[in-house]
Amino acid sequence: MQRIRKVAWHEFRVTVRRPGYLIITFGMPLFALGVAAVSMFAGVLAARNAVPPKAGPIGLVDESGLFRNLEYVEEGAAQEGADRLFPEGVPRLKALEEMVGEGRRGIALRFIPYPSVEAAAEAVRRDELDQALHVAADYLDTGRMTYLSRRHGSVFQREGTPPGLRGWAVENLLAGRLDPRVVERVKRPFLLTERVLDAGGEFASGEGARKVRRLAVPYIFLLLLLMAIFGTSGYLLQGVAEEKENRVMEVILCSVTADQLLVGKLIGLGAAGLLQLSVWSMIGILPVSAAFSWLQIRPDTVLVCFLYFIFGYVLFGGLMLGFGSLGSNYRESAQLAVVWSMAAIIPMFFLPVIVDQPNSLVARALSFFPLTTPITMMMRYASGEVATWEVVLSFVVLAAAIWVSLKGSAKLFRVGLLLYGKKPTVPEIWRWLWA
Amino acid sequence: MSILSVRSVTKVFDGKRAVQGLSLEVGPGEIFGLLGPNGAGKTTLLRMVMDILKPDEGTISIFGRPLDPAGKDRIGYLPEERGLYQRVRVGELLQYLAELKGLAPAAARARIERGLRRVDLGDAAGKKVRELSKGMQQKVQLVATLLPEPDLLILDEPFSGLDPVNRLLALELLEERVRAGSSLVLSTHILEQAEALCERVLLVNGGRALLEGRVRDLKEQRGEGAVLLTHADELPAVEGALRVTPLGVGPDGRRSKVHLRPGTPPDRFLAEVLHAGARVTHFERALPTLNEIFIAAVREDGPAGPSAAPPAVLSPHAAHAATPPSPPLAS
Repeated sequence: MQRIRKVAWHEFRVTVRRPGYLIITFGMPLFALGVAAVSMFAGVLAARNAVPPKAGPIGLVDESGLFRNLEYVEEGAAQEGADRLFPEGVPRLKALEEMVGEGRRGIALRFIPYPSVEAAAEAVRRDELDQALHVAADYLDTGRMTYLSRRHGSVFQREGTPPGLRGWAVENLLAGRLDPRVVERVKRPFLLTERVLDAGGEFASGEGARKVRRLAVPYIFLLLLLMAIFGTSGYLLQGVAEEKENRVMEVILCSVTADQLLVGKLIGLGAAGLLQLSVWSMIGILPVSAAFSWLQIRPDTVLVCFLYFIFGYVLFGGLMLGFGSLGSNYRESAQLAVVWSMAAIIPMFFLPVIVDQPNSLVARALSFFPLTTPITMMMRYASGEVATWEVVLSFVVLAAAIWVSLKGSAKLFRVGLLLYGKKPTVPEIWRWLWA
Repeated sequence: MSILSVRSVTKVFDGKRAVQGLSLEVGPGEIFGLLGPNGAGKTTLLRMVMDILKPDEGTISIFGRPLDPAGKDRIGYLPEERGLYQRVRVGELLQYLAELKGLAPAAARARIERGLRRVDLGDAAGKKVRELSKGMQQKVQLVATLLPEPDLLILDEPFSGLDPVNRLLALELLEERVRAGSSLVLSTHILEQAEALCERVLLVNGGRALLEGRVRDLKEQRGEGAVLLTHADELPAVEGALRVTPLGVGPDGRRSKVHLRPGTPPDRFLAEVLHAGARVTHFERALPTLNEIFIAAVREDGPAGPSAAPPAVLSPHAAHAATPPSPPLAS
């Protein structure tokens, strides 16, 4: 144990003092925060100073005779968009809301009648108008309208059609025929608030908010685990590849066993990687947590997710180290270890099923396949619908898989450490595993 | 009690026997040579001794029992494939290696300082390894090997990459250690070094043992029955002489190698030649070198098995001593 500790401490100390490590650890999040702050500031500034959308005039050629109202104002059209972004119960970020909605300032349309389509089209051509609308004589039967515009649309804006056109049409068609409040409801039939029966027998706020609250913690740990697998594993592979390139392995192996070296490296380099993740998390999470203080984080969820994270890291780290040791340099090691990175992201393809149906067959199957257990179970546990025995069993499965993978990796590590200049074949790896 | 005991050890890689039933014993304070050409199985055997590889057959015991962590701490091992962490400072690296060998931090620091001074690298502790020349790095490796003041030193090609001055320094360090009571196992393909240093040797080829014993005994046994003489005039013909090979003229007179007729003892030949009137100023038995013995042993071993091929050229001198040039062995 003492030797494992010494190897781990050495690996950790050497890694965290590398200039590259320090730059990435502290430089990257500060750079990212800087970029985010600048872009957010610029966005807010742009939203505040934004000129209201060009509200007309629109040339109108009405052959149906149904559209007499030439002025139209619609308040809060973007409210629905904001509602979708911030479900009920989730505090709204004013800055983001501002960035969302030009409709916060309302939509105003003004129409100028033209006697013919040709006259309106000519006015658009001469730049007297930006746009013109032709309502066909058989509009009531066919609904046909033609919209002429100087502006090209983009993938985000459908042919430049002005927002509010639908409301204007409804208002014109129903004006004087119905109560204005009914007209308003026809334009926007409902603003739906969803209440879902919770475990305490209460109808709680909407499912959207519930999901956001419920899944925030597992999402954070999921993200950390993937970052650990893809990022920290780089240090593991780099460490072992450098030792092979420097021919240090055999010198070390005269003092420690291959197993001790493997575990020591896993702990030391893993700790360096986790320290990096922690720094990133602290720098990133502190400002974000201030904004998302409404998240009700359950301690048991945090604890269980943390345990799945640690188990998952040891499983993937051990496998990558064992297979990575078979390469002659970092590039070869990374190629040999990439299969495990790929395995780690399998649950991401099934995330909608896991989140919406945590007790489905797919979710359960992925829960007990060791390579997909950590991420699947984090998401399932947060749903609150997973039986305790499943949680316990998943940890047993993970522990057994870690034991098997460390044994197998140690075998490969022992062979790989002394393997120079030769890339092993799959049958060779298979034979070494069973030797 | 043997310090190192290897009994009938075999190691197979992918169906090929790298080591076949090798046995050896190394006693306290002994310098033992494990000799053979590249690819003979020496490094594989040493890796099994160090428990880096597991033998397929046979047993290995060190200090009277199978190798355990405490036993490892008493061994200084310098592998053939050796290197150092390049980005680490020399002092830190040696401290790490010493502590891995079970040394207390304070004791390790004192030994590191002493060891670096001993190899003229007293100011290198604060430098990064990559800032040192290759020769300096070799010396650091030697210091690292000797730091635990091991009871058993296992050195695989220890002098490769060292210039003559540093080779002499390395020899001095090893001799100091042996004088302090350590046993030394020296693996090399340069037989002249072994001949000068080792008391006993094991000659291996193709993973098999060819010869084992005291160097002096092997030379005596393998002596071809020849003597070297320095004399004033032509040598008279005597019954015991089979063939005379002139070796040239030196300041003390003519030098000749005389191959004796089988069964003729050297002293009887000397008596015959003196009786015949020759004036002899120097006389000695012409013993074969280890290199010559090794080549002869390989040839006697016959054409069967992987060891049938003649050995690789063992040293620059061997290239001249060995008669026809031999193809190198596959590693």
